[in-house]
Amino acid sequence: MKIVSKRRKGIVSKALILFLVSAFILTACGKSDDSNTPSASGGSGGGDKITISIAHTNVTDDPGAKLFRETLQKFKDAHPNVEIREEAVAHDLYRSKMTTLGASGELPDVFLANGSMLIDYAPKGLVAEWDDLLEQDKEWKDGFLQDAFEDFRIKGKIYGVATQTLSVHLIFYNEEIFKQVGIHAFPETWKDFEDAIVKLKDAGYIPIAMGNKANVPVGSTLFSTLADRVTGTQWFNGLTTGESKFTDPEFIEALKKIQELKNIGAFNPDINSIDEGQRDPLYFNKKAAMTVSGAWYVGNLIQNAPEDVLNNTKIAILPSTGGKGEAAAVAGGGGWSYAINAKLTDAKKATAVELVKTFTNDEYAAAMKKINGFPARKLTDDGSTATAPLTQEYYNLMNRVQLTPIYDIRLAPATVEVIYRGIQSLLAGAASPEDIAKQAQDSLGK
Amino acid sequence: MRENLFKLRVSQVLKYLVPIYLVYAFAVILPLILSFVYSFFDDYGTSFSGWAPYSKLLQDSDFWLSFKNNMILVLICVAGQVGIAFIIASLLMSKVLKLRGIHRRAIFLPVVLAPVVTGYLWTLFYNYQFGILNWFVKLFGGDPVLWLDDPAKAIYLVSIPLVWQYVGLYLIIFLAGMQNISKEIYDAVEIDGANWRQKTMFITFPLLKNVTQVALVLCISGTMKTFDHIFVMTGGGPGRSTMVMAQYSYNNAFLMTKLGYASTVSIGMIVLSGAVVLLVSKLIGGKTDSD
Repeated sequence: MKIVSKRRKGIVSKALILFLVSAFILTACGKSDDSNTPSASGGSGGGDKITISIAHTNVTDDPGAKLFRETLQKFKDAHPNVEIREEAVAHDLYRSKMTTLGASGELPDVFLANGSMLIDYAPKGLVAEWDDLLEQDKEWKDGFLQDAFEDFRIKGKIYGVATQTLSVHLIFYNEEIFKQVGIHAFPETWKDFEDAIVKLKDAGYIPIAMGNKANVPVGSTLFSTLADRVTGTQWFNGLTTGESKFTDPEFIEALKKIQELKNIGAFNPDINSIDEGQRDPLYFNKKAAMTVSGAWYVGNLIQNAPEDVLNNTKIAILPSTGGKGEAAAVAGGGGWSYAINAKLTDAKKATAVELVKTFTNDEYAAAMKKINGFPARKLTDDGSTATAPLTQEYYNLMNRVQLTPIYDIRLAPATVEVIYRGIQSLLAGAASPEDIAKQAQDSLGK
Repeated sequence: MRENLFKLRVSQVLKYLVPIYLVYAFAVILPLILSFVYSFFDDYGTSFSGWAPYSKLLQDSDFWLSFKNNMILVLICVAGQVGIAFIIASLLMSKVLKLRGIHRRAIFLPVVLAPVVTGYLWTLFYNYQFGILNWFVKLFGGDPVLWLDDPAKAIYLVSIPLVWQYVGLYLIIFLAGMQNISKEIYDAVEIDGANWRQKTMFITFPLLKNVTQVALVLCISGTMKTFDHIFVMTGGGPGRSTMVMAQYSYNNAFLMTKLGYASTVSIGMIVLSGAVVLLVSKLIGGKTDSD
């Protein structure tokens, strides 16, 4: 009896262990299992359910995110045989999550990716090419703006469909403050720009308010454009072929321009310890005469700025530095794109493509424009649906400038981190332009 | 028979431990082994490259700068957390201090706050435009000071919240230790006419050697892996002036997408932290022997 009961206990405990282990394995791998299995049925209209996972960052209450969620809901309603599994993550955390998923090779079926992420994924074969899919639907393809795919092209192949096309560099300035200190038009040359800064500073204003704690704002919204003014786009394109180096005098000159701005007191002194949200009160309370940000800030101003500040706000871009770059140009592009998993096949892939088209067709673009968005598509509408004057001013500006590379989109993440952190050091007076240039060049070799 | 009984007990105990071991293995041991394996891979974790990442780590000035910052924090936290906690604990044990309960609670309160909250709270203190520190400076007629923006003093300023938050923890450890010291010893020295300072120096401190050792090891290992406060307050900036090893590893993994090298950095971090802790406990242990 005793022996039997002991054995039974042994069996029970083994079964328990087995159960626990299998429970662990199932919960750990279950998710990836069914998202990777290609759908068995061929016809999308068939009774079989197709599961599509989609990762995106549209979790906030802003109109663009709402539009995205509404459209997704419409897609769900129109396709009862498709089960959409959403993985919505706030923007700041999204990149970390996707980096982790990318490293384990378990990306969602459809996901938002910026150019820099695609540079990471494409060589590993994690994302599908769009070229053939675009060719198959000429009407869809031809509706995109001219440079819409540039940020997502790697070695000639397109890996992402732009969610939008926008400028990441705009100078928002308070015209009232400018007039008050005796500047009647936005400066057209670098010397005038610096003079204006000194004038504003002497009058007790913060010339340019920025929040650079995360070290991306200055690098992305100011430096990308400033660097292009000095080096020219040709130089930037030469980086991939090795024709140009970060240690070239042009690039060092660009860094020196930032240092110059810092030295004449162009920025708020606490630029490196506040974030972009903490920058807003400075501009909104008329303590600062200018702020630099991207097209998304147009919407922010319209929503949050006090009325008199909003009415006096005008949009400008950096004047020519006398360098090799075009003066009527801003860093800009698609930024983010829709990418699809390379593992998808057949019906599942067709559904994924259809889903992406839902967010990139003319109907969606028109809806974006209505809420002051920046669609990547040509619209026959001349922008008159955009009601806010500031938005209209932005569209007008975009009609006369060309787009230049955004550093954090086009360069590898490690290089971006070195340059942007370096610029933060530069602004804190803790590094020299030459050191940063050398470190940036070293980061390419690694 | 007894042997049999004992064996049965062991298997019984093991059976109940299985779930815990499984959780521990999945949550701690497996990731550790994985990151050890990854640490021998190239930057992107795609191909095995032997000792190359480690030789790169040894020559990586950013990593050593982070280690230096960690050591500065360790020195400040040992003096601040353990030192101040010891002084306050002996004050609380003396008869001089009134309202002990309130003091104890007030000092322990920050320990229960999330580090992220503490970090955010202190960024507000240090804020240039409307921070409370600059408000005081202005009140006394000074010019507002740049706190976290100054690369020269940023590392010292981020250490203050660390000290402030964890003093309470060591205070509790010391109080528990002090309450274990027999009253008779104090009574005896009081009859001999010893004052508070002498009691602390010659009775409390020597009898608390073991407790101090534990506190030091906890403090050093805790500070070596510090991350949340700095992540929230400066993110390692301005530039690299407050970069610590954990933040450097995070940056490598999530900003630069170099998961392989980030693993190398974290293994380097484990080795260095282990070495420092070992060294310190050896040093203290040695003293006890010579005493």
